[in-house]
Amino acid sequence: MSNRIYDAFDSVYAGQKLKEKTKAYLSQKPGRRQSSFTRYAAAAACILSALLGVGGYALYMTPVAAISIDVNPSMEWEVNRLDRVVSVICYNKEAEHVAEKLHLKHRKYDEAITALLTSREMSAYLAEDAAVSISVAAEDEARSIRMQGRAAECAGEHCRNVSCHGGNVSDRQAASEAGVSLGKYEAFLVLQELDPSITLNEVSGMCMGEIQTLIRAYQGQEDAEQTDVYHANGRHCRKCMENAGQGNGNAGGTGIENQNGQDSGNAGSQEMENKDSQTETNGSRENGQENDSNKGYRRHRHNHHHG
Amino acid sequence: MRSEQEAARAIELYADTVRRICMLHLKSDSDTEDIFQTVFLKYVLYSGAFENEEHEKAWLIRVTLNACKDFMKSFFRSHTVSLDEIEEVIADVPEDHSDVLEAVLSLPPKYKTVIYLYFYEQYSAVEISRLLGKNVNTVYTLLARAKAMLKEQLGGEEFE
Repeated sequence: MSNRIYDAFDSVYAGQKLKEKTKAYLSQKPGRRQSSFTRYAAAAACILSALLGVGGYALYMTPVAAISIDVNPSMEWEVNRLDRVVSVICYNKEAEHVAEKLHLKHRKYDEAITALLTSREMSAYLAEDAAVSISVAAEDEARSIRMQGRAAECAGEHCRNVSCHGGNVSDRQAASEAGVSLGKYEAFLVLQELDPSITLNEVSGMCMGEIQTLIRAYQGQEDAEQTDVYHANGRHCRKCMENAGQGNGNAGGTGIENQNGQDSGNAGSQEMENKDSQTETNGSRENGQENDSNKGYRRHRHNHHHG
Repeated sequence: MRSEQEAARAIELYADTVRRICMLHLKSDSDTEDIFQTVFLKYVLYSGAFENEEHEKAWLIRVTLNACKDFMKSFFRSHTVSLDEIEEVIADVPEDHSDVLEAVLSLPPKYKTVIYLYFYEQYSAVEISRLLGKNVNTVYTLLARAKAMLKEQLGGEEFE
């Protein structure tokens, strides 16, 4: 009864060619299996390396600290965990001019400081011992202190009047929201404490030397007349107070004061003392005239602002 | 993993069985070739032991049926039509039995398999139910319907 179906199926068979092909496929298969494993491994490696690349880049580009450098050019660098500058923010035209000539990005911050302070573009602003203010803000305090030390050391090799402060991250945020660098913002905070009527707008237009002078004047230091001489003509202050650091010691709060970052710092400060005493002897005004000189600063400040 | 000799032995022994199942479900030689490779590769990679040749054969039938089912389900398969698909199977079928085979191939897949296992491999309904994972009564029903359909197509008393 089922013979016809049986015979019909029986007439179907696998050809020799099909068998040979299957055998040939199986004999080469182990290699192919391995290659499929290798393929998966390669794909996994690709994905992993892509992830590492993206993650690494993100990690590299994530700033963990900010350094603000103010002379007259006022700029701020964001520094990643490898101590490399990942972004440069300029707060005035001078800074833009300097920054576009120098390649500061992706360099170590100490190298960048050296490059900046030794550059031709910067030399015009660094004449006559202009005050260089470096502020460092980092969440990690140890990093902040280490960076301040290193920054001051580097800057001190090229400039005599360097002050270095530590700032905190919230100040830095407030500074960038206000459109000024951290260094200026901190100086502004100090000034505001001394004279609540002062505005950030007024401060942002000044160079660091002027601000330091102003702070010192408000603090009623003994050589007020000297600053009066410097500011009487209404020019931008190029000469900075050698002992401004004493005044700024309070300004930076947690900051390290470094007048002369070199190892021969003592010699530098000695020289400053000499200068101070000299200006003191030159100046013949009495302490009682301090108020006048203060008025002078205010005048100057306003002039500058309106100018 | 089995050796090349074992694979060669299995191919010699079971190639015809696999080929017949492929014929029931597939329409082209290249598809059959794919299933051959899949089935015997699975055999080579299968690490379990077979109790006897019958067990081995049943295992291969099951694997072949699954492979065919997977192949029919595949996206590529369900969305493309091979140019040489239609005539190929018929051309393969020997002249003498073409009418019977055509009748069997025209049945829905579940009937084709049961007919093949029952009439050619001569499994009992109980064995078929175990092999296909179906209820015995279901197998009986499938067989009865398949026979009726074949009788209708081919005529005669023999499919009873």
